[in-house]
Amino acid sequence: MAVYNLPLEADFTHGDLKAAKIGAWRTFGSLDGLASGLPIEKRTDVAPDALKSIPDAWAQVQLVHDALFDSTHEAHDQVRAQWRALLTLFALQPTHKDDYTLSIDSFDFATTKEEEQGRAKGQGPRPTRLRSVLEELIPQGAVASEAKWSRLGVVDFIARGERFEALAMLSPVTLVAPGRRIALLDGPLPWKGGSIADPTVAGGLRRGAWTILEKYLDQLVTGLRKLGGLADRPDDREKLIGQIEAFKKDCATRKQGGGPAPEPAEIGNLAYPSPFFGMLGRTWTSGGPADLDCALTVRPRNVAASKAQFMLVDASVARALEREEHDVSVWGGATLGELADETLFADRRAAAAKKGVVLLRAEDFFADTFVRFQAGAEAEFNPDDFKRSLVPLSPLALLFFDGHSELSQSVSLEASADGVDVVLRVPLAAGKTALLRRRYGPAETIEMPAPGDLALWPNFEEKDWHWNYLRFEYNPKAELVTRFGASRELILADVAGGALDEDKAKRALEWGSGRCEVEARVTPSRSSELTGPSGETILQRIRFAAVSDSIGEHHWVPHGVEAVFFATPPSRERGSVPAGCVLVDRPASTSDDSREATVAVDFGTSNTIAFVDTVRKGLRRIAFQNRLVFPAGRNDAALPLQYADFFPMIDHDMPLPTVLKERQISGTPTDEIRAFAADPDPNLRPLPVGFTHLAFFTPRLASGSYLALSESVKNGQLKFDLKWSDSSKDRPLVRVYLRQLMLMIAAELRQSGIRTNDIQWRFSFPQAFTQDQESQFRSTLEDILKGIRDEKAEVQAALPLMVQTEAEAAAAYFAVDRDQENAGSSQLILMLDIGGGTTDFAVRLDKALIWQGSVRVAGSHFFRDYLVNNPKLVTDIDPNQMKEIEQASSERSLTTAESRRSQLVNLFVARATFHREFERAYLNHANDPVWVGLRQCAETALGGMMHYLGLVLHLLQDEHPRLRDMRSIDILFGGRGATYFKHLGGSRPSDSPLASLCRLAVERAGWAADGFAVFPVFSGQPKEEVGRGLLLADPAAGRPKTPVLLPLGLDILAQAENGRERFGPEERLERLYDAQGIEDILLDEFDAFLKGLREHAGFSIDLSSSAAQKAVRGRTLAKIGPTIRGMSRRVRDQRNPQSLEAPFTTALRCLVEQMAGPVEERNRLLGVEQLGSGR
Amino acid sequence: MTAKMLLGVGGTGAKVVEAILHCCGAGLGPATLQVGFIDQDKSNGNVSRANQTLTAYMEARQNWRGDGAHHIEGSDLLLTEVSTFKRSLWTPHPDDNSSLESALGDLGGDGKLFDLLFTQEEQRLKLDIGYQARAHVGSAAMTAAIRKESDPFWVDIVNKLVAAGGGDGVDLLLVGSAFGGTGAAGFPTVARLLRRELDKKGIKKGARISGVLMLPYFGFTPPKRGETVARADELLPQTKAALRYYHDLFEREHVFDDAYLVGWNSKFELGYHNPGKGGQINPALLPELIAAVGACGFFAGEPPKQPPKERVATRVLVSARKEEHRFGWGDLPPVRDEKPNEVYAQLGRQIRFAAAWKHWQPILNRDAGVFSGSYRKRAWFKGYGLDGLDTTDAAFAGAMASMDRYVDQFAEWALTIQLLSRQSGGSAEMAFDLWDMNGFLSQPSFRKDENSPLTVPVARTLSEAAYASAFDRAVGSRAGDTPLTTAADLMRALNARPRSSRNSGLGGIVEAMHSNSAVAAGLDGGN
Repeated sequence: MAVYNLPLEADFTHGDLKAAKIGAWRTFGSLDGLASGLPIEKRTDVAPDALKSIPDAWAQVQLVHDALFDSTHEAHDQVRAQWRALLTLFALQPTHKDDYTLSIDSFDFATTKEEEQGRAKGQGPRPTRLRSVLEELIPQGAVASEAKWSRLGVVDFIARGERFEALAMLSPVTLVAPGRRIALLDGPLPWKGGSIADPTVAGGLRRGAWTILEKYLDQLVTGLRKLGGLADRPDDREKLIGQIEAFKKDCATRKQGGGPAPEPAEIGNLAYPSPFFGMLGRTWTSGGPADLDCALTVRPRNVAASKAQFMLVDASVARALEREEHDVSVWGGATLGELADETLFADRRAAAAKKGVVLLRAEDFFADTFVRFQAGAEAEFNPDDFKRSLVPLSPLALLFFDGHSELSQSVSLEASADGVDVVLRVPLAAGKTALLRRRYGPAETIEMPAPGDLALWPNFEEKDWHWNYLRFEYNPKAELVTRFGASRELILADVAGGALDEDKAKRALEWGSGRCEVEARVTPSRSSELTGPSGETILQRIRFAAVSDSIGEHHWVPHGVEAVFFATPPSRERGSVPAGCVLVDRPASTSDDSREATVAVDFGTSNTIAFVDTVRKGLRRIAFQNRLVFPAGRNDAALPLQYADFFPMIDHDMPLPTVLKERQISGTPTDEIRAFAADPDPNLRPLPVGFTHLAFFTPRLASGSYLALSESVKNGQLKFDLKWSDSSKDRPLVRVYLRQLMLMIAAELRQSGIRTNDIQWRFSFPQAFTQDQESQFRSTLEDILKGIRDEKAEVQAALPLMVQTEAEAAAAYFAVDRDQENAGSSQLILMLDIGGGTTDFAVRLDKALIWQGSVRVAGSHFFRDYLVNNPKLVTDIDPNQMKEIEQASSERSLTTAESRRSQLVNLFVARATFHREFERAYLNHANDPVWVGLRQCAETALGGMMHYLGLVLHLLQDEHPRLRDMRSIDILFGGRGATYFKHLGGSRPSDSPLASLCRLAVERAGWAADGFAVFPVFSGQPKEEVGRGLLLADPAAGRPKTPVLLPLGLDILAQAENGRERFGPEERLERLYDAQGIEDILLDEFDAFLKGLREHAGFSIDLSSSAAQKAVRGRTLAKIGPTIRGMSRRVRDQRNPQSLEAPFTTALRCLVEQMAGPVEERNRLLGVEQLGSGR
Repeated sequence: MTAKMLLGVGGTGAKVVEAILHCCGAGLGPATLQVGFIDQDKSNGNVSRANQTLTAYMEARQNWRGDGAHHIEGSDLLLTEVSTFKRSLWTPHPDDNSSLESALGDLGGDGKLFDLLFTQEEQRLKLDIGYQARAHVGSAAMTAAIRKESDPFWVDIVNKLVAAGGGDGVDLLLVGSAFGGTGAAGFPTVARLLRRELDKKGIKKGARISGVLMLPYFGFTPPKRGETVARADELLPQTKAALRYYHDLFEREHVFDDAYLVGWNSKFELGYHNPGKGGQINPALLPELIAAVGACGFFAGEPPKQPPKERVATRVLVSARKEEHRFGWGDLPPVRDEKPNEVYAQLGRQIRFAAAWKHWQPILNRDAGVFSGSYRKRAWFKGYGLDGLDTTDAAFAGAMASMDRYVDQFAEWALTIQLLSRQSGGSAEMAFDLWDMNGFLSQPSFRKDENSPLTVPVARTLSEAAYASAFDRAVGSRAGDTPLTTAADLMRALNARPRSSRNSGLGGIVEAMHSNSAVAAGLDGGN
């Protein structure tokens, strides 16, 4: 066989070898074939730089071409890797825009004829010698006619502010071609290792990258196939496409499961030397670090989630993915394998943090100590393995589990030879689960009492429910230190609050184990808070107790509580060490009610009651459930007392007493807390909403609980008369009380599926409120609503607040309520809603409201005060209670004995069983002098009101002549204050003592008493009239335009503009605005009333004594005079009768106040004398 | 008349030029030939020796075929009129400290292009000892250095090429290697630059540019650590990369018309290494002869009258031998297909002539102790007019010396090829069947040390017995041919009447010696 005179393998053959003539020159078909026949070791992994024999200034480009397209080429592997790396850098640039960018410098080698001619003449710029050399030797032929060697681009790589120049060239034959320096490039690159590599081999790419690469490469293939024109190198085009297809195929092999769907993206600001290369710049991007192998899934419920990215740097990720650690991407091109090095990990963690990416180690998920509970304790919501211990997790661990159920199922305990292993199964974004393990040896395990004094309100968890409160108290020397309650939402909101990415990452790490930095931002030494990005509160903390053996705190946790965290008691050596948590499982609300609700609140002087009306369940009185949760498991009988300052501890029906209790602050509270205790911030900010020190008080009124109450009374902690107090100190308490009440109501409704924003609130206020009081009341309510509504929720415009006078509401009740439809059958109806402090009136003629009014004479005046002043009555009702009252009131402390007794009686009356007990005692003692005295007191009040109403009815006859033809009247009694009058008869008997008393009105109205029927009627549901009436009102109708007619009721001698003037009883109240100084009050009209009282009630009152005159006329004058004198010009000009009180009712109240005194004493003072045997 | 130009690029290119010159001396070359060398390594031993050969050739030819007293006419001896360009050697970067960076000067805004294509080390590589196996550096540096418009060396070449467009044909042959530095870099680069010059001038006919590309065929001791010159064990991988490049280049670009590829399947072991500089003097090797024969063939061909139709691809020519471990005359390609024995006849005669010359030179020179009165009586002495020659003038001395130098060069070249071919068979010794010049050795060949090439001591003169032996045995007859003449036959012929009257001085007898050295009747160059 012939042998070529060439350096070929001995057995090299070629197609025409046999035809070759020995000793002759013959053509040889392919130098490629010849090259392949050289007797050298067949390798494809030679470094491109080692091949130096291409005799061309463009050798690098040529080498890339040769090596890329020939799989047997010595440098094929490395060139292909570099080429693939370059395409990957293009494809993933938008995804890694924070890591690097690319730029292209265009170089134009095309010399125009003009330029050439110019140069020949020595004109125009001369190209550099390098440019000339390259132009002289410029390669020929491209894969498409659109690609020109004369227009090339050099690609720079820019990362972290540094520019790596001449990384690659845009090549007309291979699209991209690595430059000679490419091997020097060292990160940050999207794949592992940080230096140039074939990503399908190197690995470490984020999950979504494979999808992007596939799409990108597919697009390149499509683009190349679509190219028009005749390519000089059609074979090369096919080879190029073949290489891209092969790359694509390798990417497809690497793709494990689906990453996030990528979005189309362009590489910005790339100047392509020719349109042909434009295809390189069109790519896709995916959602940031979330698609890296080590990415953790945070399943947020709000926007904060997108602002934090977490990577788990632990070998368990590789095991979960069934990959080598060096093939698992973490961040910034690093792999798990690399980050096993502590120093490198620290560097990368710091670098990642600057981009808002948090690299986590297993230890960030676990507490440093494992705490077992001493015998007897059990944490109800902890997973089974941890019922008798804390769950040794860090708050950060919460981020990666979808609530209690998932977390409980993901953490378990395994006994090991030298301790216990806690195993946590953490879901990865890749869909797999990493199994983290932490061993606690004997040195890391301690036994402690369970943290029993820990409670949480309410007992449900909802995204839109922000009113979560945590209360705890512990002995820092002996007990676990309770730190805070936290949830995913809370942590995310805090992380989102970081001003910079680095700050966010730092915040995130602070929630990891081994650190207590979070608490450093919410210092326990003062009331403080964590705030979110918009300044919204995410955690508020107040330390209400701070003594050496007791630390007590109250936290508001708007984002909910999924776990409460603890630390060990501080030691000298280590301080407190994070010790894990107890889990909290508060179920979501039920949705057994309608979507919307209307709530009506009758904010009474002594009691408050609220109703709700929903489509599904109709109208009902609101009752409060016990919504306290004890996650650490202690729930004993002593707790209600301990917690009463903070939470409504027991189930409680409406009405509630309108009473607040100040929170006790033990230890040495800070000035800030003291100030708050003294004067709660009326604007509810910046001090915590919900840290109201009087919150949630519901007194325990059952027998035997008075001692506790007595203590509160003794300390002056109970606040009464919230509704009417004009003191600037007490006024904010109204807000506190109402807010607390509304929050509790909202919780009840939320638990049944009605969101806070879907509640329409209706409130009543007494007609007797002055205009200022009314507007203050309204603005208070509006402020509270702003505070408790979920302003972030995207719901329809908040439902408007509706306020109505109590009289209007009660009138609506009597007119419309089905229970009352048969009650008032007459054409003329007079309604009295006798509350604790106010009695509201309404007059309906032929069902139409023709008048309404209000007086401040009600149950507290004629009933409660009488009981306060006549303890025997209380003894008759409940002898034991009286002892307690006496005992409590006998002690001298902050308040007078009388005041304390008043408060205690108030509470006594407020209790649910009072009515029944009173009824029993009444039957036994009705004729006892003290009981007779009570009746006289009550009849004086009612008689006076009837007389005054008669005056009104008289005056109304001018406007409503039909009134003159009336022959009967139904008088409807409502309100808790009216209850007593049931004992005087009712439910339509027209000859009862009550009916007789009511005739005071008929007579004063001018009707002929004979034959005129008076029917007293009682409401079926006393105290509910106003609330129910509020719900019956049509909000669209607005406030009824009823004339306000209030007669003076007494003769007033006053200075007026034209000198001394007498204002008669029938003159309207606003006439008093003409008075400039009251000189005297004449009691002629009042005497007429007392005369009628004697006739219809059977007892007499003699006001002739000077003491009596002083007590009634003098005090009335004393009340009215300054009012008139002190009236401002503005008030006078408005002439609103609501700003004044009718002198008759003032006098009546003064009389009733005297009548409510100790019975014997008042009988002497007022000459009260029972005529006959009485009733 | 078609101009014939030969450019030897780099050391290996020079060696092939040397071989071509010897072929020319034997009558295988064209009538005229302009020769130049390109080498960055100014002191390259191969180039130096080729240059010496060139000088010796030109001096000999000047003395023997010029207008002087001693003239040979009607013979193929030193037939080709060899000349040089304005300079025989062009060195791209004559400054000692030049580098690619300095060669390119100010880069302006093109620094990125520079960084893209060259590493920093390459950019700053000192070029004074060549391109050190970095062909792309050489390509760029050489291109930067070539001043086609102003450098006499290039002006000469370009003008001749351009003249081809006016009707005078031009055959330009570039000779270089695919490995190493200067040759590898310059071989295609110079060809492309010149071809593009033609393209720019619109010259599509009359000019042929071809090349002889030497592929690896020898090996030497690996360099010491740190040396960056071409390593023998890297030659093949580098060649492979280069071949792929050529493959692509030849496919898409009309660079060469023909490219002769020559190499060897097993390495000719040189047994030493000398890293560049003047010490790099590699012995002549058989593939260079094959290449030279190819070159002569190229020059013997006619330039195409019409431009090739859409011809882009370079025609690649290779040759083959019959047996791996044997090389004979039948394995050498012919210069002209119609004269299959021409190479044998011309080279065979030249070798035998050399033997004759080594014997006859002292006689003709009348050296003491050699020339005796008895010769004066011989027929050839009178017949060729030697009795009337003034042996004391400068012309006589010059002629004798120049021919002697030429013959020595030739003999050493041929003898070296012969001796080293035996070492080229890899595991088996190769049978070298072209010639046997052992009789020329004054002593056994030897190697001084590991850094020295093989020294082939050619005998200053041959005694009658030695001459007879050498002459008779130097070249064998080809199978089927009649037995060759012997030294005795030569003597008889010289004693017969002179063959040509156009010779003068010593020309007559030398021409007779040459012609009577022919390997067989009817196989001389004229046939």
